[in-house]
Order: sequence, then C-alpha cells, then structure tokens
Amino acid sequence: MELEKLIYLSFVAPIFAGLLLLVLRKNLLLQVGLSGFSVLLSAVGTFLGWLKINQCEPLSVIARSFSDEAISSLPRLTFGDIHNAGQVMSDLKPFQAAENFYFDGFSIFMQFMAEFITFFAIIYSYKELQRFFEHRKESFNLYFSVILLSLGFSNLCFSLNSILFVYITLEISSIICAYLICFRQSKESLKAGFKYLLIVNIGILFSLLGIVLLSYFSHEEVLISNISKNVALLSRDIALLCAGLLTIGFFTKAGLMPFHIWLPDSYAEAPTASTVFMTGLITKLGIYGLIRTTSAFALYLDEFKFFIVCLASISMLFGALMAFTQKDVKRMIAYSSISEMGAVTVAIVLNSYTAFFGAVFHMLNHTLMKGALFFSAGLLIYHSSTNTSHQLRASLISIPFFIGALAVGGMPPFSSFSSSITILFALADKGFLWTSAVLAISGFISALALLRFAIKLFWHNSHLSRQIHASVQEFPYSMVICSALVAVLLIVMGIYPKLLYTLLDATVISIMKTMY
Amino acid sequence: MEVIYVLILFFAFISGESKNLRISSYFFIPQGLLISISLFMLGYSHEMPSLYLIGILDLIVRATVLPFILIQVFKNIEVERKPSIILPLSIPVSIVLLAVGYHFALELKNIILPQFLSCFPSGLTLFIFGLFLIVSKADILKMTVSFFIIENGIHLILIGILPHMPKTFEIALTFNFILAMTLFIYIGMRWKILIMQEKRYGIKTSDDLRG
Repeated sequence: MELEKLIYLSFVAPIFAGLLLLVLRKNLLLQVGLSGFSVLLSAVGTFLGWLKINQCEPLSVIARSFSDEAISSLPRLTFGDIHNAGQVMSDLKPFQAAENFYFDGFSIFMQFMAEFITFFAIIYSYKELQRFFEHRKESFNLYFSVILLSLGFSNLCFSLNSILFVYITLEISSIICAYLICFRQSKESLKAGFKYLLIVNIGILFSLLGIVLLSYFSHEEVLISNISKNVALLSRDIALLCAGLLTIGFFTKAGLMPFHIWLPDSYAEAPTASTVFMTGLITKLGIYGLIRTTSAFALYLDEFKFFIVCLASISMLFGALMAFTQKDVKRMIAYSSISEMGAVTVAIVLNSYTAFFGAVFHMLNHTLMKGALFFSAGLLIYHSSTNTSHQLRASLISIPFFIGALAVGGMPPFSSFSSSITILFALADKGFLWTSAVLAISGFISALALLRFAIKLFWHNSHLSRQIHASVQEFPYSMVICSALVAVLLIVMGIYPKLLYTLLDATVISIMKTMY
Repeated sequence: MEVIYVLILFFAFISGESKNLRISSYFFIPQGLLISISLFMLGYSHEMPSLYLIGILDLIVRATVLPFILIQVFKNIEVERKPSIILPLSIPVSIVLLAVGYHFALELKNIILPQFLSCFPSGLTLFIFGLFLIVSKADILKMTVSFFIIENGIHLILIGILPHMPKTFEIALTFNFILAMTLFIYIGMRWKILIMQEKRYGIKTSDDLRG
C-alpha cells in the first residue's frame, strides 16, 4: 500500500472501529482497548500527513521540534504583520491526495488535538462508566462507538476541501454527540441532550444557508483553498449576509454568546470523560468553521471584524461572570469555557500572524485546561458522587484542579500564559486595547471563581488529612493518570513551549495561506 | 405551482398548530408528497433531471418513513398542551406570519433574486414559521415537529438556490436529517419511558414532556 493512502487512517480507523463496536456488546475492557487502538491508528495517519506536508522523514520532524531553528524564526513572524509571514509560506505545501481532500498544517493540528483528547477520554471512561453507569452497561459499546464515530467524522471534516462537505461531516459529528449527553438517561440529561440537539441543529442550519449563498454568488464550488478569493469578489451586502449567517452557525457550535445556552447543561449532564471529549473536539469544530470561513470575511469587512470582536468580548466577560455565580463544579467549568472560547474567537478575526498563533495555541491550552479541570472534578465526583460544592471533599487529586484553575487565569508557568499574552499583544497591535483589558479581567474572574471553589473545597474542611489518605486508595489509577498527565502537560508546555512551535507555526501559515 | 406551495404552507400550519400530535404527524405526509411533486415539476419545467432523484428521495424520507415513525411515536401521546404563546393567540400569529412571510419572500424572489427557483419563497416562509413554532412551543415533542418543518423549509431553500448542487451532498444532507430526527425521537421516547416508570400508568398528554 502506498504511504499516502495511510493518511486516510486518521478518519477511516475511528469510523471503522466505531461501526465495529456497534456489534461488540460484551466486555468493556475489549471495547476500551479497541477504541484506544483505533485512536492510536488514527494518530499514525495524522502523523503521516504531517510528514507529507513537511516533505521530510519522521526523525527530522521530531528533531526540528527540538532544534533552535524552530524558535529562532518565531520572533520575526510573531510580531510581524501578515505580509511578512508570506516570506516563509512556500515552505509548507498542503497535500491534496484527491480532489476532495485538503490536508494542511491546520488540519493536522486539529486532528492531533482531537486524537489526543479522545484517547484520554476513552481511558478515563473505563472506570467512570463502571462506577456511575452500571445501569447502562448494555450500551457501553454504543457510548464508545459514538465517541469514535464523532472523532472519525471530525477528522474527515478537517481533511476535506469542499465547504459543503465540511458542513456535512461537522454536522454528523455534532449530532451524534447528543447521545453522550443523554447517556445518563435521567430527566435532566435527556433535557440537556434535547436542548443541545435542537439548538446546535438549528444554529448550524444558518451556516448551511451562508455556505449555499456563498456558493451561489461565487459561481463555483467553494473550497477551503479558494474561499478567500471568492469572498473578495462578493458585493459588500452579500458578503455581510453570508458572514452573518456563518457566524450564527459556528458561534452556536462553539458555544459562544448569545448562542451558548446548550453548553452548560450539556457539560453538566454528560459523563465527565465525554464532557472532556466535547470540550476538546465539538466546540473546536465551531472554531474550525469560524477560522476556515469567517476569518476570510473579516479580512475584507472591517465592520464585521469589529462586530465579532464585540461579541467575543461579551462572551469572555459573560462566561467569567456566570462561572463566578455557579455552585455546580461542572457548570462552573463550562461557563469558564465560554469565556476561553471568546478569547480564541477574538483572535481569529484579527488576521495577523501573532493573533492566529495565539488563537491556535490557546485552543490547545483550552483543551488541556478543561481536561485537567473536568478530569479532576470527575475524580472528586467519583469520590463523593455529587456535583455540588458543599458536598465535595478533598484529596491530593485536587492538584490538577488547582493547576487548571491557575492556567485559566493565564498565570506563568502554565502554557496558557504564552497563548494569552500572545493574544493580548495581537489585540494591542490592532488597536483593540479595551478588548485586551476584557481578556485580562475575564481570565482573572474565571480563575478567581475556580480557585475560590477549590480553596473552599480543599482547605475549608477540618477532616482533610483523613480524607486524603482515604481517597487516594479509592481512586482508579487510569483516572488519576489521565488527570495528572494533562496537568503536567500544561506545565511542560508552559516551561518549554518550543516543543510545539513547529506545529503551531505550520498551522498558522496554513491558515494564512488559505486567505492569501 | 403556486397552489402547491400554498398548500405546503397550509399543511405546515396544521402540523404546527394542531394540538393533537398524531394529526400533526399525519399532515407531514401530504406536505412531503407536495414537496416531492413540486420538485418533479421543477425538474420537468427547468429540464433538470437531477431533481427527480431528490424528488424520489423526498417521497421516501419526508412523505413516508419519517411521518410514519412520528405517528408510531405519538401513539400514546396525543395532546400537546400549554404552548408558550397561548393557543388563541398562537394561531392568528401563525396565519399572519405565513401570509406576510410568503408575500414578502415572493416579492424578494421576484424583484431581487429572480434567478432563484420558485420553491425558494415557500422554503423561506417554512423556515421562518418553523423558527416561530420552536419559540412558541414548550413541549419537546412539538419542538420535534417544528424541527421537521424547519428542515422542510431549508430543503426547499437549498433547491431554490442551488438546484445543481452535488447529489452526494443532497443525499448526505438527507442522511443527516434522518439521523437528527432519529435522535430527537429517541430522546422523546426515553423521556416518555421515564415518565411512565415514574407514574406507573400510561400518559395521555405530553404535559410531563414540557422542555
């Protein structure tokens, strides 16, 4: 088999395994093993894609990540404008295995992120399902099947060139996740699942309208590789209409204000592992759609750019303030997630290398932060079997929660510090000083809310020391390791961000290539 | 053609405003049939044979399979009660919305967008009407009915704007629609079972299903 064909593993493996799991009803361990293996296969496919667009050998890619060359090129690009970045744009070539596929740095970045968080979610699910969802043991295979199918279709979405088919795969990936939200089968979870399904489905239909209008007025099929050219040829009114419709759809998907109402309920009701999966993948699909489409509009329409910056700023502030008022830990993290996604969105319409760099880096950090927070919250819930703060009790497991909470505030030495500061620079550079202030304040409020919760939880109780010893033995290692690893990564990438620079650089250049 | 589009809106109105959920479901059959017929006629008059395939697909999915499933689901849940906008007000608002909306959409198409196919105005009206229904209904099963209407509207809009869209795209969209409706129905059914388990007797109304 040709090496190129193996790139398709990134979506074929999870979809195939997902379908296989539909019939594999018995043996949870086997289901977890198959799911994990298919995600690893998917990661192999993505890595081969990464090699292909870099046009180099596996070892040289790894070596490049550790070399000084990767970091030395960044200051020139980070603080330069979009045109300076064009000098190095020819280094990376998007890979089109067939007419319908388009693999570039951004596709690879999204796929890696999705596979990474799905793998952790699957490992974490093993004990969580056994503990909390014994009544649904006949449906465990469906649970993993949905996760894998969603991953598969997301990866397919990241690899496609036609915007119409990007929409289709994005919609499939989103729709099936309603099952995860309803998995508990309680009244609340069914209600949350219904709300998610209804709002996301209707919201995303607006983006379909936008895509269809754009296709009609472009007089050709709109592709990721030609969207910017087509947007440039649109009349102002039509461009604004298309941009507005696309924004409604992808804002709903990303859970941004004012289309966020599905998000807190869904995150609160879904099993913790699938909440992390949704945070890392489903909302990111919305951001993927925004970057692939609306960024091109923001390049030509200043009023649209200003409108998005305002909406995203409201999201940031609203999410942070709402997080502060929550008592349920998962809802609190969910609202802080809205705030974080606002920070990413504000950066993607600025159209500068710095802003895109900050946005994609913050997307990754958001996945890690929410992973650390939700995983550790899940452990606490595992221990106490309740979500409300006054009933939760502490353990050493609180450390990932603290790390996640501090990272939400953009504190050094966590990796979110680098991404937040990059977005702040980008905003200041483009004259949005007030938005920089909003970003800083909302980060502070979110962190304060989470820390207040954590301190109250972990230090307020006089029986803490006894609980620590009692709890650690009770917690399953798989859950603890997932929680700890994500938290460690937040620190490692904060201290040594250069590890990621090659990938992030390729991602940003790929995004900008589609725009120029 | 105009009569067909008005009839589609009329049946959508009955589906949306009928208190009886089974009647709502029954009226999706003529609605789907008329959508299918309109596509056949458009295909014939504009010499677009590709629309025949979509017409056949609609006949199977929108006029037969999904209404039949809805009828089965609503077997024991007949009456929808207490919409957000009380019934005496909801009906005239719907009538006004459909009449004014269709008139406006028709003018929009004739004056500004004459190149769109004639199904565009009714599609746009259905879409807006469906959105209104979602807002005005508190019952989750009624919202599923409203979603069906929105999807029918979007379908007609897409055909109106891009009749030459790739067939694989149209088929994939229909697949997504079926998937979404299946999940809506699944959630509705699970809820129903849950309520039944709680009450230990069959439910005759959907009061308990209020979202």
